[in-house]
Amino acid sequence: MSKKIVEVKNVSMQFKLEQNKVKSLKGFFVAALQKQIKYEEFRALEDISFSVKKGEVIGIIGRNGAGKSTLLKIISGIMKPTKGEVLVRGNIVPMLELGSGFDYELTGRENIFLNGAILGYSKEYLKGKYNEIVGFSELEKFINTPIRNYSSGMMMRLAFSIATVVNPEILIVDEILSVGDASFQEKSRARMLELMSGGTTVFFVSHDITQIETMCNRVVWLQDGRIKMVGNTAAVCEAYSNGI
Amino acid sequence: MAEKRKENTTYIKQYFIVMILYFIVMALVYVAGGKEFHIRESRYSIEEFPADNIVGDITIGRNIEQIWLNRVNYIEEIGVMLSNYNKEISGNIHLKLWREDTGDLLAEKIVLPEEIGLNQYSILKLDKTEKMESVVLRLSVTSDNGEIGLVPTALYQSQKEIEDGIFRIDGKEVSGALCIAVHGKEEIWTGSHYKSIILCGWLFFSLCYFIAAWRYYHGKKEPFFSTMAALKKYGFLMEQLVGRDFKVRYKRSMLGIFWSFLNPLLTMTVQYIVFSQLFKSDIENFQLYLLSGLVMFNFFNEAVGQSLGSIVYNAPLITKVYVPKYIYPITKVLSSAINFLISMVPLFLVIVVTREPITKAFLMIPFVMACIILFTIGVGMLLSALMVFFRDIQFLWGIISLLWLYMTPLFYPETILAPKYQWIFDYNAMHYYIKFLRKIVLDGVSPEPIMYVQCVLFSLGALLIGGVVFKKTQDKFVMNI
Repeated sequence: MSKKIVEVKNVSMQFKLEQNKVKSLKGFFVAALQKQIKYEEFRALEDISFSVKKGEVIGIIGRNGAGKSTLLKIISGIMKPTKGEVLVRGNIVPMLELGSGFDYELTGRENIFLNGAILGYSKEYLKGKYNEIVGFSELEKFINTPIRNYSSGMMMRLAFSIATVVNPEILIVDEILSVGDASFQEKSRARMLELMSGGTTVFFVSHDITQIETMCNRVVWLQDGRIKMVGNTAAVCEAYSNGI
Repeated sequence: MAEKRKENTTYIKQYFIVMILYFIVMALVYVAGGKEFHIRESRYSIEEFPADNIVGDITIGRNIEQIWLNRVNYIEEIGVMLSNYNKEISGNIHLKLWREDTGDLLAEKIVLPEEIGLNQYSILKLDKTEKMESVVLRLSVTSDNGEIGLVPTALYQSQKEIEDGIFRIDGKEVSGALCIAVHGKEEIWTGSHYKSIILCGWLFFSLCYFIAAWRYYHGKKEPFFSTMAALKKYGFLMEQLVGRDFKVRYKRSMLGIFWSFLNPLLTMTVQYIVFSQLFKSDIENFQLYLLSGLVMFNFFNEAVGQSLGSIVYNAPLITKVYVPKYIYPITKVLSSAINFLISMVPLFLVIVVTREPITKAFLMIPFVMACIILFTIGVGMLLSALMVFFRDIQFLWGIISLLWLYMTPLFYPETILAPKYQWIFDYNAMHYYIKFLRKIVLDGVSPEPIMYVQCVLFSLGALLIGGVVFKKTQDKFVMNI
């Protein structure tokens, strides 16, 4: 029996959209005195509940603004839900945006350690995997150069190599990442598929319905912050395609 | 079961490490504290006060007496205001100090006529180190020679009241008090009770530790253990972030790391040139006085300035990856702390050049550094959290830090403020840290125990306020950056 590795319980997320977002002290006091701080409530998510077993690949589909990214951010702990809770038993590697912790003044080597630390890898682990990361990125020649001199493709290759070197228990993927030139794209796609099929629990957001159909065990369909449908891949995908 | 037993031993191991560290630190504090932990300037000293009357010519046979209840443990000197009327005199003055309960003569001195000036204090020194506590003393002022018209007089203040004081002129009680001044030392309980303090601290920590460990073991939240666990987990990340700041700071400058030495040294030189001209001040070793203050204040200013924007400017990271958010302001302060450490080098350079002795009290410099770093972390957390909601903080801080700079005695003496404005210093945490460091580097002795407590309290206070505000608001950061 596989245990529940992630449980999402009655999660709601509300954003307060201020009419004129007050970001200054004076503005705040003026607005508060005039009782002008009006909030427009925006419900990004409403009463979302589902649970995920170990090793499942969960696809999340929905139109733009349905709350997919918010849900992923809540699961990965970046945001706290307004109501409800998320229980996570295992380490998460969120692959939301690659290389967001890069420092352009540092060399590729230094950035591997910096970015690895931000993603939560330990020192020993990074030292052990260092050669693998550099090898995968094909940047051996430039590894001691500050990355401000890298091309954007090189930077993405490095970021991708750092992010995918782990075998996390839970992986969060916002669109399959394929970066670099054609051959590297092929290589990175293969690496992603390998990661996703390697017994890891995966949350996978994509607009490419065929990708979802081939990869996922189960699919959650979000619409306007609510679960429209949840169930096995074929049924949900069919309904979704018909709905559009 | 095996898993649990392993945990048990780690608790005990951790406990022993903490306790050994505690005992070492307490022993070091005692050694470095030295005599300052036992004795200090008495709080019961009688300060000089102005006179409004004279007792008349003190000829042979006259006897001026002041009796008072003394609370100074070890009297070092007693002053009496005498006057020669600003003319040539021939009579001397004989000062005698008696203990009333035993009738012992504690000290006496003959003040020669040429030693007496116009309304000047003549000093009677006590060399006996007998401890006194609430003893009634009697000071008598007589004369052994001199002709009428050519003798000195003593002065008194008719409104002044000294505790249990009796003022007699030739055996007759007169209201007021002879103009005397009493200075001496008193014992501090920290010195004589240091063993008990260590023991109490040990028992207290042990109790707290075991309660916390027991609670943590049973899955409850405990700040101490959660912090330890977080440090273990995010230590590597903090190391990387601090290293990054440090590498990037001087990456493209020619002198690189030397700027950390040069900066305080050059700032001090400029300020020294300016202020030594402005204030023809009576501050001893002005260079060191200035630099010790500057090093501390520059660290604080820089670290707060850096951590201020640490949340806002790390927005791309905070919205993409989960990392405890307090990591950001703390690493910024720690990055500046490395600079702070390096800037201690020019400070020591000046100490050596100005020939101040390096004493065992210097062991306490890390203590005050730790205190100021904790204080700065507290302020940094508070401001970085507020900054998320009010971007005005960054501009306000520029002004507040400037005001703070001028309100801290960095380049002017502490006595520059009139007593009624002294409260500005009393509420200024930076003043305590700087005073602490100066006491060590300039006087070569440890500050009084009370100053240790003040420094720790300010640090913990700032940490508590900063921590609570940060914790309460951190969940809203993502929506506001």
